Amino acid sequence: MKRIFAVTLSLIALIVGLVLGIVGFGRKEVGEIAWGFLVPGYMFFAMTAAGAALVTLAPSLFGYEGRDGELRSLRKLALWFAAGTLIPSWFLILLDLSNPGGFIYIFSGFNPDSRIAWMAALYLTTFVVLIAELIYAIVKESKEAEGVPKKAMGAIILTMIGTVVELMLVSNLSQVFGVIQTFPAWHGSYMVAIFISTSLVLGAAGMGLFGSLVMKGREKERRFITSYYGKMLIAASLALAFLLFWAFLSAYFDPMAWISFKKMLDGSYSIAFWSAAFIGLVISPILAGIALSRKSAASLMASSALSLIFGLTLLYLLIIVPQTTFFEVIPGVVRESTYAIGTAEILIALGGAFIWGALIALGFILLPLLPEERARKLFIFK
Amino acid sequence: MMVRYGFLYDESRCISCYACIVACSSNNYPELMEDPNPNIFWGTMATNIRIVIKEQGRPEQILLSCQHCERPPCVEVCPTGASHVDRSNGFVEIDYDKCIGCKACITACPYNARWIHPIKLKPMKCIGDACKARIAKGEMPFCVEVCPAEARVFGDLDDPNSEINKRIASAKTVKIKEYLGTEPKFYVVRG
Amino acid sequence: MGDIILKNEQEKIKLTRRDFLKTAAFTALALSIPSGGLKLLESLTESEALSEQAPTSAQPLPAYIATSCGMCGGSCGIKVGILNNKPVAAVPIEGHPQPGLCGRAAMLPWLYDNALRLKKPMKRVGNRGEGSFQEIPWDQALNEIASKLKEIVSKYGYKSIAITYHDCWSSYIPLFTYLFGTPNGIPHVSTCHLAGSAARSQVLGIAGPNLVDPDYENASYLLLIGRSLSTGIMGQVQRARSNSKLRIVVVDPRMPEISFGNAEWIPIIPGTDPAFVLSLINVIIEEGLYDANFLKKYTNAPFLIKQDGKPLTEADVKQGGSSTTYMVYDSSSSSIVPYTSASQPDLNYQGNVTLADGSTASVKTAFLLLKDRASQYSPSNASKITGVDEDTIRRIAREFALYRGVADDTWYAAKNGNEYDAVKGILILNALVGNIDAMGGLVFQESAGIPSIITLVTSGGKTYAKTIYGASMPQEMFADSTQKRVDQLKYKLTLGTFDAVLDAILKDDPYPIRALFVIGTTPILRDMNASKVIEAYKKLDLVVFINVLYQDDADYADYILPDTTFLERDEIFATKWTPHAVVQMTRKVIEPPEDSDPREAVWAMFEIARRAFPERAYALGWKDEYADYSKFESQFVPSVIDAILNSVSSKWNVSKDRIKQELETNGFYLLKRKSYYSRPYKSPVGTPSGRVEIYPLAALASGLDPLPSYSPPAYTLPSAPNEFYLVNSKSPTTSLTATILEPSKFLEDRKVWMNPKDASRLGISDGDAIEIESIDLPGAKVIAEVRVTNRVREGVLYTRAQAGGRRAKKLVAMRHFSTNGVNPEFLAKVSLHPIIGYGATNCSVRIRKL
Ligand code: SF4
Ligand code: SF4
Ligand code: SF4
Repeated sequence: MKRIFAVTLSLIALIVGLVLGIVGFGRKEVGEIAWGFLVPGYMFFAMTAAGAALVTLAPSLFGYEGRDGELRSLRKLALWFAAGTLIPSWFLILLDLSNPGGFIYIFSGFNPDSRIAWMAALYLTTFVVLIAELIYAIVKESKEAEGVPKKAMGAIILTMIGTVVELMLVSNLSQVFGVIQTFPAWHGSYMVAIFISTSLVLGAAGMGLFGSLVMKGREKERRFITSYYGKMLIAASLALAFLLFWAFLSAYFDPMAWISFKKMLDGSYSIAFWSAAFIGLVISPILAGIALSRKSAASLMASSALSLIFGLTLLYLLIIVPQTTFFEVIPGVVRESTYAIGTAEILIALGGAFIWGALIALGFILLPLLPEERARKLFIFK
Repeated sequence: MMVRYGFLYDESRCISCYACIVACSSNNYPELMEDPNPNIFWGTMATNIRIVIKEQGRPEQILLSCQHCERPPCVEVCPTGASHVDRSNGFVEIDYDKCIGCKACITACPYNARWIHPIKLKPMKCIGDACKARIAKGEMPFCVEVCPAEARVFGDLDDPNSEINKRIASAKTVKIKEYLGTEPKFYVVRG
Repeated sequence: MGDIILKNEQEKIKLTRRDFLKTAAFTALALSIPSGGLKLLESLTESEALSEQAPTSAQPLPAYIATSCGMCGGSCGIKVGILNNKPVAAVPIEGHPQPGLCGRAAMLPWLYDNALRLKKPMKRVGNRGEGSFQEIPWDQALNEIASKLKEIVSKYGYKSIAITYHDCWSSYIPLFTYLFGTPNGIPHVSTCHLAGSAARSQVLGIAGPNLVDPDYENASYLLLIGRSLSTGIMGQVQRARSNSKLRIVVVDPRMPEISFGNAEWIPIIPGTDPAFVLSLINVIIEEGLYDANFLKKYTNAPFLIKQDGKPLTEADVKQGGSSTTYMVYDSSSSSIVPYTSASQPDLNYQGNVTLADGSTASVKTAFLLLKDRASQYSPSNASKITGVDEDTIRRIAREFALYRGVADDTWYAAKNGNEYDAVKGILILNALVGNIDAMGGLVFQESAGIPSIITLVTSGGKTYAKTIYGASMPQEMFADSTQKRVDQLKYKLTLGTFDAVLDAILKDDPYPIRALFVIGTTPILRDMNASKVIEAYKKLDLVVFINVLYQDDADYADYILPDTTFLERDEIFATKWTPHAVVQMTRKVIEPPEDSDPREAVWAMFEIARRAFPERAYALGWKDEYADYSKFESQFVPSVIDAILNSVSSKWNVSKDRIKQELETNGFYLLKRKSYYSRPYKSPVGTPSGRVEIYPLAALASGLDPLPSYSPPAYTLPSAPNEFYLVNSKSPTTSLTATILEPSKFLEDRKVWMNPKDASRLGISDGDAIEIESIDLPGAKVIAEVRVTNRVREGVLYTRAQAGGRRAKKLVAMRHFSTNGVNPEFLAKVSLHPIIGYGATNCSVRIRKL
């Protein structure tokens, strides 16, 4: 009964999400910059998805699976979390298009020079690989439960492919902006590194939060989650902090890029930047540290939540701020634009968030994601 | 017939009358004539020509439109191939059936030569349909036709006798942001 | 709400359904789903609907008709493209002596069925200024106006009726004055070219402004002082720009648009042009750079002037000599002889002459007087006044002489109250280098010989006012028509000083004016101290506003009559801005929009007269059947055009059909190309001596100082750190019509320009709002946004004229952008030249950052 109720609730959330998206789509307006909130929005989902899979699965390639295989037991959860997070990413980006139905032209008229075309391909591949990994894990586990032993080779190969496409996804995403000469602040070697580390922060935070939530009442798993993702979060955040510093430093020597970065440091976007940096790069690692030392899941959840907010804000700033400065065709003339998130974007993003929640919940309800759960129906369902 | 069209804008002759801008607008975007905010992206009319003014130092003005780059970044980033170079005339054009409105071309254009249609939500740029229809009939595009100061020239860059090649030969021209490697086909005579 | 602009079909669905479901609480959301869903569906089912643009060759092209543009008063030759019964494009006529185009003309597709168009006659329902009107039938409007007029005339006489106008219908105004028996047809010129016209008629014997102009396409060096070529009539600039060897120098407190290109800009302190020009004259004379031969033969430079300033005439030295024969010193015969018989007139003579009455008078040549005058304006002195450095003044003077430059005789120039002196100096400057009527010089226009619509003729001892189409009104019916106008009673040399009408309205000075027709013009944006204009409107018994669009003054009208646009009527006239003799036509290229019923002002005026003073209308050839507008169009208008064609055809000896045919295909007919070196070389100019007068005797006769001098502007000079000059001018997109059409929102700059140095001094940045208060009209304040730009001189603020600060109720609602910025006329005090009657629209202001 409880389950039907949960499923119904999730389906309603899904529908609400869709409706919000559709309503938003009908209200889209032109702004002063081309890529508005939905772009960092979809990046947030995509990078969280890739990051979650990367931090959870990649270590197994080097043979680390947790002291007692705890990490292995989080694999299904992470895979579903990643796959389910990719969907709202699609949702946001499709509704950001004026002609979502035309996305098939990306494949029919595939332009290999275009990062966005590759983005579409990589999204699809990543999603397929994530689902394959998930199915493989579920099926393998239920087979093993039935006593049919399976070699680890398949999982390793799939994980390898997954890791590669996820890294490609994030790096290619950085190059969607990196190749664009129009906005010098995008045009730096730091973009890839920043994107990957941001993605790890988001992934660790996402899994830290989601894992802690679903493992409520399971002390052992929770303790592992707290320590593993806590460490990951601290490491990734520190890496990101350093890389950001590097980005700002190199921008300092590029007068054009510096205009945008300066807007974040002491200009119109400084409040957003500094508060985000403070909560994401100071408070969140401290809370994660506390979580580690006190083995406090609550602390980790708080740290994760802050890091997610920080990640979204950072992406927002990295995407929006450079677009507000255009270096005119007459040297020395700078054209400034302003941007405010529009209703349509809020509606669509909200729709994405609903869909996200609904999908993750549905998966959790229907799929055997917890370590001991096994598929009983149709090979993969509980 | 293969031609390679290019434009020339002579800043030294332009008198800032903006006839080109207005004619471009009413002829290529008649549906937006009464729209109070037809081009929020540029903050101007529904037109393919953008006014760029330098107010400091020695003031200067360039009326900018698509450069019809030989190596156009906008085409490079277009995922569907909607933005493309039409090799029969040298124009960078958009196939609106294929365009999904991702706006990558808009951010990629280092000239800010594209704007966003408020109803279609798709990128707009020179060359407009009304102008193409004129060119097909052997007439000049609107901006060139209406210019009272002979500040605009249009023609085939491959034809050594074309008006545009004569002007390029007789005046000192520059191409804008050429260092980006875009190979623009929009020549500017600096004022 | 007819003004809601429906973005697309979906929006339409949304709106109509919304009305239907108004009560539902979640209507907006509920309706957004189908709207967004529809869009989404459309895109998913792809997608022909979204790309409805037809590919190239299938697109129908407009059909073009040659006519003249009426977006400003310039009347450039353009072709109008008609497609699906709408004007959709304007292109220049190639080969036309005054070809279009400019931004204004390009906006013509917006004019035709604009929401601001006056479509039916309207009658005021609220108070004056409230802007509430009610549509009424033509008959009712005409009847009511007529009976009001009759009442006014019976109380105050015919001359209590005044008509003010600008370019539109100006050729008919003399006819209207006979029609209504009043002398008072008073144009805009006191804030435009009046000062220049006065100077031109005195120095060159012709008022202009278009009858004499630089020969732009052949000039080598064009000096623009008080003239930017930004205003109207791009044909002139086109001619200048097509001349690649031409160097252009502009002297202006703000950088005009052409200086974006290759035109040197010399920022000058406002209102100091006369000093600058005199300084150029000084350098040219001191350095001997003038054309002595020209001065001797074709100007009155060698005329001997007595100490009282009057010329020495034959009558002075010989009993019974002529008082119009001026004397010069002939160095070949070493004697003083009439100017016509000297073989070597001396430019530098001074000495004593024995007069006929035996007394001696000391005399000096006009040239020496000019030299003395100019010597007060040495570059170092002038530099202090003008803010232009000495070296620049010297360089410009030398370049001007060396290149045999031409200085533009100005046009829309009433800015500082001392333009008369500036233009006089400019004309003298041209004469000094001998560049009058020379190729590339300041040339006289060849007259096309278009007859006046009405002239006074005397036959059999009786005077008649005779129209070109054959009607004539006998003298006894003239009423007050031939009396002096109110403005001429006050300002001896004026060609139109509207402020005199305001005084007649407000103070009955010199007599009451009670009815005002405002035809194709808007005094609130035209005349100094607009508040006074409004006050006068409020006091009038009858205000009739005739125009195409709803303008500011309409708010104060009792009746608004919709005029036809230039796209909807036929007119024939001489091409204005060309040195050649050319006729051209405005043609009816399209019927007025379906829901409208505009009528030509000529028809409306005649119909009003027919109802008020029928005998006057009939005497001037009006017939009852013309009450039917189509008869007017098919009979009256052609009869006027035919009469003009007849006259032109007989003057030039070309067949009428030939002219007609060319007009139809090309829009113009070239009657005669400019032949250079005609006046004053072969025939005299219209001055008392028949020569170019560098010492204008007509000025002397009117009690004016014949030589130019510098006196400070007519307004209080700014002195405190937050005080500025406020100067104004138009841009190439400015006209009263164009500035309230949609594109103007984006093309017209309604910010007030401020130099970066002033801005940083006052802590003002680009986009800040400031309050601007007139120093001379305390309490007159406006608020505007600042543009910080190097395009304006330090200490000077610049605003567009006739573009911003609109206040009409309808404009506030429908063209809100036009309310931004400044209407400088609200800040400029009325200060008129006591003899010429021109004013100053610049002023000084105090600013405050908001
Ligand atoms: S100017 Fe811009 S839009 Fe035009 S071809 Fe070049 S990159 Fe593309
Ligand atoms: S060629 Fe046509 S579309 Fe392009 S800028 Fe000129 S008028 Fe506009
Ligand atoms: S039409 Fe010609 S002169 Fe006018 S603004 Fe355009 S380029 Fe300049």
